[in-house]
Amino acid sequence: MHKYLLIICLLTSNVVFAQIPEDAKRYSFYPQGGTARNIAIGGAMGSLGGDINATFVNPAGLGLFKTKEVVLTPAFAFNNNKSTYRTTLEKNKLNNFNLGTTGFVWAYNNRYKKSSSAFSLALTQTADFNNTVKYNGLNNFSSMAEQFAEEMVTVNINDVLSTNSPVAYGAAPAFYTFLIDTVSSGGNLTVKPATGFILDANEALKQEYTKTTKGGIYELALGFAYNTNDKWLFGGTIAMPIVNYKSTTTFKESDTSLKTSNFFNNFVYTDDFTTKGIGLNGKFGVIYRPKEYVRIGLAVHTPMFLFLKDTRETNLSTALENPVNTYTTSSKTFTNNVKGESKYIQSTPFKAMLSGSYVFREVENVKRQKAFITADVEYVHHKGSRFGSDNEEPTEDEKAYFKDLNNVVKGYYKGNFNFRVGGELKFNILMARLGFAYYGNPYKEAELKANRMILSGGLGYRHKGIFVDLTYAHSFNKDVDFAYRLADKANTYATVKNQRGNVVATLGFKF
Amino acid sequence: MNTKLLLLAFSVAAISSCSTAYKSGQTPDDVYYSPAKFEENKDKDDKEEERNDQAQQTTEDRRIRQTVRDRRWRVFDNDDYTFNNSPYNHWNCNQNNYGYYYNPKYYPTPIFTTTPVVNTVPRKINLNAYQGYNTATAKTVTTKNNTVVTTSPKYNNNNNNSNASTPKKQTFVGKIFRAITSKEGIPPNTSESNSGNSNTRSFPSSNTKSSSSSNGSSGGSSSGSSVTRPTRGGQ
Repeated sequence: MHKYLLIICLLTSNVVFAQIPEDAKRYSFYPQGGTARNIAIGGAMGSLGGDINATFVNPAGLGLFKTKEVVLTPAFAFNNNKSTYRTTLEKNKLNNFNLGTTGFVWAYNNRYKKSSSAFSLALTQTADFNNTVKYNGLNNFSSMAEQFAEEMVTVNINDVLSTNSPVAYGAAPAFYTFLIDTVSSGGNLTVKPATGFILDANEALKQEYTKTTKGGIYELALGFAYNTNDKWLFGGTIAMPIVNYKSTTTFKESDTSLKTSNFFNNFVYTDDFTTKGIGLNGKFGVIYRPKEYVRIGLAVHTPMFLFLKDTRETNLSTALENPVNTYTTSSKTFTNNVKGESKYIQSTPFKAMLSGSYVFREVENVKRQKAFITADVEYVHHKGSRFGSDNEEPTEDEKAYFKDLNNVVKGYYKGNFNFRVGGELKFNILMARLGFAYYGNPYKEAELKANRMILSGGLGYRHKGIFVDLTYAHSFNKDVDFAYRLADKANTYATVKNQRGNVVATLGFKF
Repeated sequence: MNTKLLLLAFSVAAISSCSTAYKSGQTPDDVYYSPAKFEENKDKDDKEEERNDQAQQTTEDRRIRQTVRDRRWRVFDNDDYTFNNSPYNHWNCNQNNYGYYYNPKYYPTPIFTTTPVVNTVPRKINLNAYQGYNTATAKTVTTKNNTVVTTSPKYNNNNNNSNASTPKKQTFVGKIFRAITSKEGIPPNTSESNSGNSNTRSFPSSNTKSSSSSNGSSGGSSSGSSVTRPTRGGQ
């Protein structure tokens, strides 16, 4: 019952809820997927309609359907990453299958009222997390072990090494393996990382980072649209997002000096993390046709209200010098020998879009249908992500953490505009398409640069009740990645440039 | 990957097996315009539906009549007749699972089952690390115009000037001066924060109820039991 109350609170008030700020961006900063035809025209579907992908963009577009169809959209992606970390460049690749919009549309025409209606049942992959990011570099300024030291001093020292530790994933393994240790200094008890001996000597650490992510957000949706005399079209979609995210992060720091008595040799930290859950969201829209060949669309997407569960396990191996020894442990030592779990509720930002299309020759005779151009402007309120505990009885610490985290999300991100534009030329049964999309920077800080730019093109064939569309979309993605964060020092980050090729095919059937 | 391929092959096969009404003539394109298709045989369809309903009713009536005549046709399909209390299944005796079970044959007392306590601490990060965003921790000064500015650099992405947010452009004279004064390789770190024994973090007094030496192990006072560190020593 309390889940329903929480949804009502989220809908009606400005209740703030989080895990870490980066989780917010994962569920809002991704390009629009869809059918091959839709991706080929840059994903612009806010006012065009007549494609099953309207279910996920502006459901009013389903109102243009007067027929029935079933579609299937498999896709294959090629990832190429170039990462720069402290002036060192590294490249890597990863390929994977994904799923575009798949489902069916059913239209019903009323000859007496000059109206029609349509509904759709569709499944799509709205976000694809499959990727591997790698970078490495020399660092004489900071160390990840300092993050563990910072974490350790936030809790009572007697609670650190416990089978139910409040710092089970970082500080506890680090303290257990002597990567960080307590030191008395001027009568105060302090925590010092072993890597601090290297930095104190003005020498550099070699840092190597690999993060492999898998999964995606899948959305199962039921859409409905009503068309009044081909003038006004109204539509709504109820969607169930399904989140499946898995990441494995490996971070290694090594002593680059040839000294064998400076207390530190290397450490390897591995973080296995999964997030799974389901949620609910709605999409509502309207399309107005002032003239036969003009379409103006307006759509709003409510936030996704996600009920998520994280499971996490970390492993740490620390090799020390003077005396030489290697210590290894798992976070499970500090979480009752089972993986840690955290249940929480996340609401993603709302979206709104304004669109326009110009269709040349909206006539029944397919041979006289010539072309269309279409464009969307979309606003995404990235700083609007909120998180809250889903535990039965959240502690005061938990509540305070979520409140602070939501404040950080509000300050760290901003709302931004995305642009999509595309067009098609039609030659009887063959079609050629081009598209472009730009997704703006979600970070408020100007120094942190992130954006996505997608160029796409495709061909289509439509004959004898069957249609086949083939698209290639190439994305140029830019983002930043922080391996660790420190509160009392300037932070260091990698600039990640990703190029992603996506081959999408749609097979459809009219009946 | 194989599962995805199998699913894809199955879906393609399923779609290919559909029959279309547009094998001859033009295939409509709803993106542009498609003609409304009306059901011409509605009356005929309605009659067929009615006939099916009647047939279904007849089947149901026949079943009821047979049930009255012969008790073997009486199928217990009502929840009221279900009986789950099996002597061999102590878990499903129409009761909730309270974390114990009771076997009257062999044990005079309930047998308690325990599940390990799951650590439910959220994935946390030190939010003060998002410097400049958390106004409570940003290092700020007030200028003459009473405007608050952040003084500490937020980012350091190079080993040349560890305390700079972005690399500064160097003049020609500066480059020559730097070439004379700097050493080869990774230049020395000039940040104050790295000099001496500065990479330590202090415990607030409230978090140090008992002292701990570098070789000692900590006891645990949280809900779990304590974990002992290995002894530090050489191999």
